[in-house]
Amino acid sequence: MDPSKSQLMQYVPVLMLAVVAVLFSAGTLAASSLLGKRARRSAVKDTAYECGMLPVGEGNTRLSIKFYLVAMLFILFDIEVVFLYPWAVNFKGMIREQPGLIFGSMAGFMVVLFIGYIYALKKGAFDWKQ
Amino acid sequence: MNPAMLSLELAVIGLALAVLLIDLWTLHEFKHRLGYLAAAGLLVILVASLCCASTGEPPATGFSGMFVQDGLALFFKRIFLAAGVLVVLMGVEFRDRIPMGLGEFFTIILMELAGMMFAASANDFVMVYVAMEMMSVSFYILISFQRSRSYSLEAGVKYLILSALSAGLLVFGIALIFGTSGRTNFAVVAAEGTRLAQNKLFCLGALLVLLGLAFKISAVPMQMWAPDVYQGAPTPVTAFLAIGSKAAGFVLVLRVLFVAAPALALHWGKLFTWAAALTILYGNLCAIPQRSLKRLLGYSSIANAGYILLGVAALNPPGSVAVLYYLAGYAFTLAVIFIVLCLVARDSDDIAVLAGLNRRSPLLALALTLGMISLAGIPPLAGFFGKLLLFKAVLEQAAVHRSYLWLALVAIAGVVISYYYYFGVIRAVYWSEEGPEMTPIAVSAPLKVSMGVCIAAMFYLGLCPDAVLSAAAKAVQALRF
Amino acid sequence: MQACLFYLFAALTLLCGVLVIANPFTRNPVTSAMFLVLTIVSLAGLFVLLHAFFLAAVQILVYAGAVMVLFLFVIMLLDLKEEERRKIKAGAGVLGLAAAGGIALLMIAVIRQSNAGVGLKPASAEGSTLDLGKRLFTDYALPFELISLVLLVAMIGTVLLSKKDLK
Repeated sequence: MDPSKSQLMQYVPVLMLAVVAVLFSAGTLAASSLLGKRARRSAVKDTAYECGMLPVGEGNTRLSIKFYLVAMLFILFDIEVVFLYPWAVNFKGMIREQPGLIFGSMAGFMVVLFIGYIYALKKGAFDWKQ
Repeated sequence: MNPAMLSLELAVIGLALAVLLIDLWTLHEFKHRLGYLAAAGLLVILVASLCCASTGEPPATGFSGMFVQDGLALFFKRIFLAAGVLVVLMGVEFRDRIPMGLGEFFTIILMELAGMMFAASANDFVMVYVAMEMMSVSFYILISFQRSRSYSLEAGVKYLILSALSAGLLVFGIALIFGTSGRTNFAVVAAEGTRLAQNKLFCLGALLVLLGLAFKISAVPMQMWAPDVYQGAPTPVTAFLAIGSKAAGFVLVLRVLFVAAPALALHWGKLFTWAAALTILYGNLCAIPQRSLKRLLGYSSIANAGYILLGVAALNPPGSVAVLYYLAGYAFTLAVIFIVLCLVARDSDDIAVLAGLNRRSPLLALALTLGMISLAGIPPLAGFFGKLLLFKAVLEQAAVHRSYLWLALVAIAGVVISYYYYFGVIRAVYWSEEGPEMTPIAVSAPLKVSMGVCIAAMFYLGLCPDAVLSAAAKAVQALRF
Repeated sequence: MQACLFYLFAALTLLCGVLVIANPFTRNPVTSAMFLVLTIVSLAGLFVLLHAFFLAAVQILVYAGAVMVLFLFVIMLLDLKEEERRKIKAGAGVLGLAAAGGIALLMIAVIRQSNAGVGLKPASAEGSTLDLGKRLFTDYALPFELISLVLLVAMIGTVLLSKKDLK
């Protein structure tokens, strides 16, 4: 078996898990509706159970813009980390032949993002209380 | 790998990062000095690029063929740098209307500029995309910079959505080109050009890439955004959109057409003829009823994209020379107009604010008039000679294909229509009833100098075209026809 | 087997993609967002079938994870009751459908007429993390560095446009 094929085979368990997850959730839903006892429905019975509190008002309250700021900064740094992974995988192999390239490319990348980090820090983007 | 090739871009990026960092430790009342710092830095880089003219000859490619430094790239980089200096100076003048983040305003303008410079040197579709994204992301922020003004935010959202759509088309096109050719490098794609030109999927890819680029130059059918965004964006940003973004779009169109797919370009004369004709007519006809000056300039910018497309549609070297020449003149013409708008159109940009301008500031009135005359294409200013070159290139082709004749006729009709609204502006300056606001307008020394330079450049390009013309002719040697 | 899975994931991607924008049962944006997650996951499945394993993992981590969280945040930032009440104009809907259908027909016609993929050399590198990283840090080093600048600009923009009282 050629190596790329075998790599693909590693994903068979993932596929199996996905199939099991779909079957299980569909199965439980089906089973409960098939086996469960039918009761009369009423508006009170259909309300969500909230520890005795009455669920009134809109479900989605509007959030503060602060959440957006944090989420967005998280994504930006997340994307940065994504690039670090192939870099780390290649580091050992490339450091012998092209040390300047493998080191310099990530150093440049990091310096620019570090400046961004300093900027966000100084502007108080991570300050929750303000 | 040769980092020295990137020296101009690295200098601009370094300047941007320096401005960003210095801003963090600068008190609010001194922040406008960062603008002068940025302008001075850009001026030094511009002079350096002019002095080291040897770098474009012979053309050098680097970074695995991603980046090319040739005459064409340098020609456009000089336009961008000059535009950058003027826009930053406008930004300093505009500072009372930017409530916060003045330092970032200059930083993002510089980043935008770096993106345009990378676009001018792109030699690979991946670079095209990354440079375009750099420009677009910067513009999203710059356009919505006045975040307490709903116009600015609305313009930002419109630009974001439509730009994302056009970027999607661009990436899809690149994917199809990559899928059919297996490569993204311009030179490699061009080497297999004749075989690929038979492949319909490749043609579709190239078409989608051109559509994505048409958004940047605001040509039909991707022109819808221009008037709204031009009106809503802060005036210096509008100037940068009109000058820099358009020029960057055109350099990419020229490169994609005549470097990456010259075999295909030959068959697409009709497509560009239609695009140019429709763009000219749409821009000029819609500009007629406009009362808002920035909206008017938005439609005028669409019309001008049409005129410049004449040079592309001609598919010959004189056409491309004319494109370069026209863009150089257009940059200075628009810069002077937007400097005046920055100073005059403070609260509203209705044409009525120009009433009595010749009394309030004869200098500004004269500058605006000269700018409008140049846009209208009346001798002896830059716009006239640029249009002359474009028409000449099209008429040369008309000898071979008859269809170019009616394209020239449409373009002439467009120019005649445009007289109406350009002279409407001049009339508002000199022959309108005096407005309520009659206080004289003070013009700061840096802006006086920049207006002087722009006006001098407009006369220079209109009267002594030889030097720039030969530079443009040398620049288009990078293209194949 | 692989062809079966390809058609399964491709069909799922298309179906969920349509449900994101035109769900006949609800106009709740959160439902749309959840279908977007399904679209992204099925795309990741397609990536795995193309041996682009790293891309598949990133697709799930970044898009289905981080970007979707951001989408949900933004949905909760906005007053969506207004949006849900808004009627879509019939004319705009018809024109939009016509435009999308026209483009789809054009693409199908073009793909049918060109024998896509014929005469291509097999991909020069596998989609493994090692190969991808090698290309990224050698041939594509310059675009990679530019990405950092794009991220920096985006970071500045985020802080500028959403910080309540900027210093």
